[in-house]
Amino acid sequence: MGRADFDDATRATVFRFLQEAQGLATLDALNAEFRAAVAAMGFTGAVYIRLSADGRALPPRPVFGEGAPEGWVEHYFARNYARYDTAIPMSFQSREPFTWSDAAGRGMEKETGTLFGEAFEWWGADVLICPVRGINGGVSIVDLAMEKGRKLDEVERSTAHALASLYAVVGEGFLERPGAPSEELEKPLSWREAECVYWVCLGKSDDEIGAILSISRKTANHHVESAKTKLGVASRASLAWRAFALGLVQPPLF
Amino acid sequence: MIHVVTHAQRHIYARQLTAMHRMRREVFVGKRGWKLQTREDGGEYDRGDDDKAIYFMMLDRDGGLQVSVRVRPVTDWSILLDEMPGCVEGDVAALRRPDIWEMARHLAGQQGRSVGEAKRRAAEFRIAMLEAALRKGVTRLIGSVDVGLLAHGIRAWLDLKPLGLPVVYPEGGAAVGYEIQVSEDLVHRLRRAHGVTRTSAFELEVETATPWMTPAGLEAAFRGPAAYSEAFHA
Repeated sequence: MGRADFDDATRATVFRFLQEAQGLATLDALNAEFRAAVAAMGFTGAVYIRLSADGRALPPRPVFGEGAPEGWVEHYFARNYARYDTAIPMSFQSREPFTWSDAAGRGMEKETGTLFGEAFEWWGADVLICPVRGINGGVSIVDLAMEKGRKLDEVERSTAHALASLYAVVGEGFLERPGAPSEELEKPLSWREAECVYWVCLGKSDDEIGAILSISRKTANHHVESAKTKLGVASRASLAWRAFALGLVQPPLF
Repeated sequence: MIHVVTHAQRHIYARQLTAMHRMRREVFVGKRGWKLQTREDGGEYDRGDDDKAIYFMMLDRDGGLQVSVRVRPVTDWSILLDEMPGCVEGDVAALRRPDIWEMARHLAGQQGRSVGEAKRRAAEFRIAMLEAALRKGVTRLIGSVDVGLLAHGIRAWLDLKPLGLPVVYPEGGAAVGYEIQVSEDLVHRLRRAHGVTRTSAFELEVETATPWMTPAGLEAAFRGPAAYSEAFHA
């Protein structure tokens, strides 16, 4: 049987997360501890994404974690890349982790090649995708960014997969817990703000949003800024990310 | 009803035990490619299938096997501690205690006609195991689970905790060692979560058993008068 060949410090960090993740008090603490554990293994970012729940396919929405480059999520949805993203069907089919490089090699369509070409360029990294089953009757994934060209052995993949499974199940537990911070906004977005957020998610500038909605650039900017305040974010990229995470926008993906 | 089959009840459940060993061969040797011992009767057996083994079985109305798992004290031998010690971080010997059982060779077949029913029956099975473990003074269950099923295991058992980093099987795939603290509190939380109100573990007292007490007869009796009548007066 193959045992992980990690140095003592890495081994201790990873094991601590496996032992203690279920006792962490907040989602922020979970994110911090998980980042530390996967960083010890050389991963540079981590994002949890739901692909389906209760038998229904979902837009590949980031729910918690961080690591995607600014603007990537908006770009991904604006280009409708979920349609060509071979990593999505592979996540449903595979019980083992696989990489973007593995998924890119499966693509038959030109757009798949474009998607992964851009993904590698934007991220400057490859990503290990860890499928997680058994939560909410569906499939989720944890994306772990890593150095491009890195080859992981089976023990490293399995260890990352175990960490990702804990991260997913404990993180989902926080979102479901009675008394957990509500995913509903204290001040809901107005109809106009929601419209502007939708177009921000599709990568549009204030000028473009103004033209689409027949309002001035300044008014469009006002709605976007107001939405940023309500969602508690500082940038347009974070606004899009948070809006997807909260389910406020559902672009036509499939 | 979940049947608890100790050494004392083996003769009553002979048909189900044979079916279980054959299913184990089909699943673990045939489908998963594990290199395990098989016997002429077509079943898979290992060192743990001895007098100390206890089998939990969920049966259909005809006494056919649906779900089974083996538990066993770990004091003299266990798969995790003796065959896969790399799955345990720290002192393996500290786990060799009489109040610890190992779960192994879990087989899950058709458990219900819908996803909801299957989930509920799977929960009944886990609750039955915990109740039987509590009755017999067991404080912890240990075992190993495929890494791909770890999240499911935690969701299902609530208190399942990894005992170490994953270990890769020679046949492919990887496993994580785990432990589950057995407690009344865990039983209550599982009951509440799944709406299971009645005790479902049944251990037949062999000394007082009457001839009608076959596994199918017990199932019929447990399912109520209509099922009993259908089974024995058709």
